[in-house]
Amino acid sequence: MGTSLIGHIDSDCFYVSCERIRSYGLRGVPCGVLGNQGACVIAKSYELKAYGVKVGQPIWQAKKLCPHAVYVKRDFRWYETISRQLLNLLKTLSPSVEYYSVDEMFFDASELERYFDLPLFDAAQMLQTLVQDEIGIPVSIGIAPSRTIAKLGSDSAKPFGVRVLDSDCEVFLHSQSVGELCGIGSKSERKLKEHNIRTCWDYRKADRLMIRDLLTIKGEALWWELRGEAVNPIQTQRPPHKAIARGGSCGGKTKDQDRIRAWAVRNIERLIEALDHHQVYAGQISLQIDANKTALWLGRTPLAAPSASFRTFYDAVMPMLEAAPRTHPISHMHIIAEELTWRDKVQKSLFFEEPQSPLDKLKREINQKLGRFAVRSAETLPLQEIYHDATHNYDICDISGKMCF
Amino acid sequence: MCTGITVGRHAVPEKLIKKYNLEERLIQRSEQAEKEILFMQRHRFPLLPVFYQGEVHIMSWGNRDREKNVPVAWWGELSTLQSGAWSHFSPEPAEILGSFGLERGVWFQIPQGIKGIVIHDQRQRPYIYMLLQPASHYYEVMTGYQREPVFIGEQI
Repeated sequence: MGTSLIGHIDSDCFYVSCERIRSYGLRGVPCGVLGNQGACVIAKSYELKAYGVKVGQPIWQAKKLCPHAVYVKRDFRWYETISRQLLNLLKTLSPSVEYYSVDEMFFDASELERYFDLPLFDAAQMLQTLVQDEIGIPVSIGIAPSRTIAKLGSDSAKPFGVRVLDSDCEVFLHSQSVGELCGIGSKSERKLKEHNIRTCWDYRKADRLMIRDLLTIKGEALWWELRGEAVNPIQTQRPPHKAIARGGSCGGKTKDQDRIRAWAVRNIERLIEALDHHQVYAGQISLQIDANKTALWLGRTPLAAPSASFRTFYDAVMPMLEAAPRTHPISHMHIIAEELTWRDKVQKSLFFEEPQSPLDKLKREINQKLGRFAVRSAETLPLQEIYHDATHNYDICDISGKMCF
Repeated sequence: MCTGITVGRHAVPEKLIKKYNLEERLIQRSEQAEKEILFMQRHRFPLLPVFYQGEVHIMSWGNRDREKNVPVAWWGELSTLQSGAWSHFSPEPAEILGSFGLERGVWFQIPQGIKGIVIHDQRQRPYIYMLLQPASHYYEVMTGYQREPVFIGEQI
């Protein structure tokens, strides 16, 4: 808190830009990055966007819209490498940087002019050029008195633009729909429209208490931010998690109980790894399984004592899995660790087992030495296709330290 | 199987571009993109760019002519090659150059090239056969096909 200028740096089509760093032939080519084991587009270049291809679109639809586009396999480990390079570069010229997501960062821009010895707009352009030259990715930059306006600025400047705004930016705020505000979803947008608040300028001019009634304290924070008051500060460290989840697609819909159990066990192993990384134990385990993008089942099991033990999690998850309905094929599964406590603050007990067994510790040590999933439960063997493909060993949620997805 | 590949124009020597009239096969995916040379199996004279014996060649992609004493095929199965079934043709390893490959309407990136074998006919003319293997789960989901080329360096 306390900075008078906040910058927002946002990479343009980040995953594709990362791929273009290591594959020169992809430059200028309509390009999509495929996720969900090759089934759908998770990122697209501006050239591909021009053909109407959208994020989340299945590959069979995308290839019809743009038959000459090239598709590449996602590689989150590589994207993290580039992302951290950008983070480190920003840290050299800003006193505080927030690792907001893999492709977006907020930074204190108050020293930018001095660093480049240029007026603010030119300094921001120099930063943009520096990132392009040093890291190889195009970025858009917004600079404003608050992070909300800075983000609006960089979003509106895309691709490869720079926008510097002050708190008195009426024309700009008139041009921005309230739906563009980070934190305003479609439901909130509808509520605001009922009160004839359509643009960010309308939002700023609205009665503060009315906004608070409509959208709670978070809506009021946005109201202040739009007036140039930086009420949401730059956070240089991620606050502790309330819950940690691991899961996702089950590689297509399945009713095969062996595969479903295998996915559950793999997700337990990934979850324990994440708890080890964050140095926390879980007090409660939840299981959510989905069919056709709707929650089919949500089970919750409190644990007798805080734990990060495979055996304990397995014993909690498997009965929930058994109890889940079997009528629909399962498409997605998440295992969620809740009621997290720091490992160094857990109360020791004489009557409960250790939060992790010697086997858990041995498994962790071997995997840290030989690579993820080098030692894994035999129950995950039905997922051979996953283990044959090393890119499945790393996911976007494995990139630690960022504030959001 | 992979029914087409492209290779960046810069990867093929000028004399080969002229000799095989490859200018006719140039494509560009957008104004800013690099020019690529297109090699399709359905071309009247299917060709492939091959790195063989230390230099780039343009070779016939498989053989359609039963008069010639080389296999009438476009590709060879890696497991068949390893079993020794092709040994009487004296196959030699070669590397098929490529930037992008085409399978069932999906263009994908070729990371480092594709493994192939060169077989000579009775007049010592070379033919290149692409090697195939069972597709990875990813490749099968992406293209809907159960076989994929033997990529050099990694399996996509």
